[in-house]
Amino acid sequence: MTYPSIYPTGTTLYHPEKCFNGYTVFQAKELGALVIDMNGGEAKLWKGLHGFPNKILKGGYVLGHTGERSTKYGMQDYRDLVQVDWEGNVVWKFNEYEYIEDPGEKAQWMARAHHDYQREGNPVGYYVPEMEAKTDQGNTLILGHKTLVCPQISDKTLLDDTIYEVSWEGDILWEWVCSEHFDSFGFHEDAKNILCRDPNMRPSGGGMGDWMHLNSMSILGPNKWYDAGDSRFHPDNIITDGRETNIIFIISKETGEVVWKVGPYYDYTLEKNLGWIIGQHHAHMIPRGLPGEGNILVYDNGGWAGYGAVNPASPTGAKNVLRDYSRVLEFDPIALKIIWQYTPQEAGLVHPTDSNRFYSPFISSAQRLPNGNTLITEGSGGRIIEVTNDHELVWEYISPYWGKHFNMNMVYRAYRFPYEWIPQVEPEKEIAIKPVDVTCFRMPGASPKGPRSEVTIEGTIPFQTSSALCVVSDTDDKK
Amino acid sequence: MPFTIFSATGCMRCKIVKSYMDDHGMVYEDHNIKADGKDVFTVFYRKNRPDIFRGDEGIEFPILFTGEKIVQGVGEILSFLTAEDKLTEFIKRSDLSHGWISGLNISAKDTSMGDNFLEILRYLKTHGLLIQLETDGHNALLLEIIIKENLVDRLIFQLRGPAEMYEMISGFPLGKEELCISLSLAEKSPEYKIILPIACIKRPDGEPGYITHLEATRAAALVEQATGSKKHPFFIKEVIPPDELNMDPLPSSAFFKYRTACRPHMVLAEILKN
Repeated sequence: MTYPSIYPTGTTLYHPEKCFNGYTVFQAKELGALVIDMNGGEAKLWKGLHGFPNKILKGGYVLGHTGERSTKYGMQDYRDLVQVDWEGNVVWKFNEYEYIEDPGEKAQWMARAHHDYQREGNPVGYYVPEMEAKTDQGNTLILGHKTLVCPQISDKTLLDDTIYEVSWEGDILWEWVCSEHFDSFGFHEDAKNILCRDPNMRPSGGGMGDWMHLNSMSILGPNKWYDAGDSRFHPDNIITDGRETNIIFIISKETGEVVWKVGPYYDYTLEKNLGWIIGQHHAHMIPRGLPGEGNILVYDNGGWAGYGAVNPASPTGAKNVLRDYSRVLEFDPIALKIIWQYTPQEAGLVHPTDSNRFYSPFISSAQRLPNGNTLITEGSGGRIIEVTNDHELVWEYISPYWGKHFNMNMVYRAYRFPYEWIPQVEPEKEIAIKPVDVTCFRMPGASPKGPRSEVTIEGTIPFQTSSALCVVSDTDDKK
Repeated sequence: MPFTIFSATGCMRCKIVKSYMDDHGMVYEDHNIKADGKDVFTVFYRKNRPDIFRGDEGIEFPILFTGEKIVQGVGEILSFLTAEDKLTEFIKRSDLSHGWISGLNISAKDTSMGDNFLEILRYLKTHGLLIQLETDGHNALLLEIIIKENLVDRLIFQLRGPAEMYEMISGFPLGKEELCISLSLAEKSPEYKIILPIACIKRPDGEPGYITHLEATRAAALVEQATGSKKHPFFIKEVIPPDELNMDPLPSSAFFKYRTACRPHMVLAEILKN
């Protein structure tokens, strides 16, 4: 909807006393891994380091990638996963997952990494008290790609998702291939039909179906459900989610089986409590030690996703569910009840008429912070916000970095971490930024608010509380 | 010998067998089980049910009955008709269908029947079957002829290990030179796979043990050395150890380490999945 052409970037709002203060890392578009402080000051840039995403390890290390495979031949295939120290030295690297020979390109090993990875010691890749990722040893789980044909899904070449575990020394120790578990996802016949005909074909490499599009992957870690005897939530198990299928699921690390899932349908059984999750990102279990531990936190993008029945908005059944706003959901994985949410309504927007002001149809994330706040990346607009448990907006930052090749200031995923994780720099002073009254905020040369001439009309009646717009909204009077 | 053939309408393999018998002046009685021969076959089947092989796609035809012996499948029948039991090391039951034939192994210990084997291959090939051959590197000369005459459509190379381990693994030795020749010929097949079975073997000290990662690396290195290329369709394969070795099968996660061990020399190495 309405998006102004002129607006401030950097930190636009900040209540220090209500925030979990620290640094925030994100991949600044076509620039590198950028660490900012609460006032938006740029504490560190690892220039040129790609990040899908970038993550910080205690001691001033950053994880990322040295580059992406040519998009002529690969779709979101990052060459490697590297750990870089403060000075920019690569101290760990993995790339030997697949040997790639693309026409006109140098033959090379590639990790084909995308969207997520987890270093041993921390289940989710963000700050959890007493769960620090290892920096000089330990295994790493990587979300990867494999190009293959799976006739059970489609006769077309698939860009399949894999998860693999690699040791510090570079040995692959475990591997899981998504298409091998197709039967576990419970697709109806109409979904299988469109999946077969169009498994989300992308043009790279002459065409390949990015049928599932996993976009997050983390470990459950110790949790109350497993402690209570539910083996589906074994601490070693892995939670991941498929953007194209609207499915969030848990994989048994031991057997590879899908042991828990929500989606692809949300119109029956307990899943209807959640509403239809669409094109979601960053689904993970809130780790032990953080408020809400054991619940699933997910950025439910909305937008377009899913396979299924044909409808007027989806003549083929591809991407057959739509919603034009986002939601951040925290839900109980057993009862499938929403425990906490941040939706346009909690954001103070009139629903649904103004809902798409909280909307990112792709990328994005949510991180639970130790004080109960949630750091939300509303990725498509490059907006990173911190909200309290009571939904108060206490920090807001807009990325000032637009890409030259891709003209957006999008932020894939941001992470907040404590100041002490990068001891190489002293934290800057935290300065509160009060929200500007936008009704009076003017650009130089613009006239101030208020009429130069005013007259009140006799016989008019007051404006009503009910909006009674062309469409129903939550401001309509309750009957 | 009074031969009986049970065949089926539209069965290409049945036609090949009957054609072979006609060409060699062999007399036989043909019962088409989808036509007039149905009742005869029903009686025959009931009487010989335990001896008749049923695969995933049903009973395999043609069936040759000598009055005493039942032989099934085009490969085994031609083998029997050519040399009775003398070609059994070369030719076994095919587990492929739809125009393909398998169960044909170049690496027989006794090579004296090699010419007969070649003759059967030629016959099968000229009659339109697609041929999958297996080799472990033995009998490189035979492989050379097969490649030269385009008698193979898909070659499965069972690489037992590094050359010096062949005798320990397969029971009969193979020189490195011959193994290298066979490996270099493999890629001349229209389609080929090199498979490294991770077998449990009895070591010289009498103790059983799986092929080690280092041995797998050496096997992969040998392929690179023999062919001058790191890029072959190279697969690691799980092998369930025989009961007498009293060894547990390797966990599936163990094969990743073998794959890693092979990849410096065979960059396309993958784990073969069923």
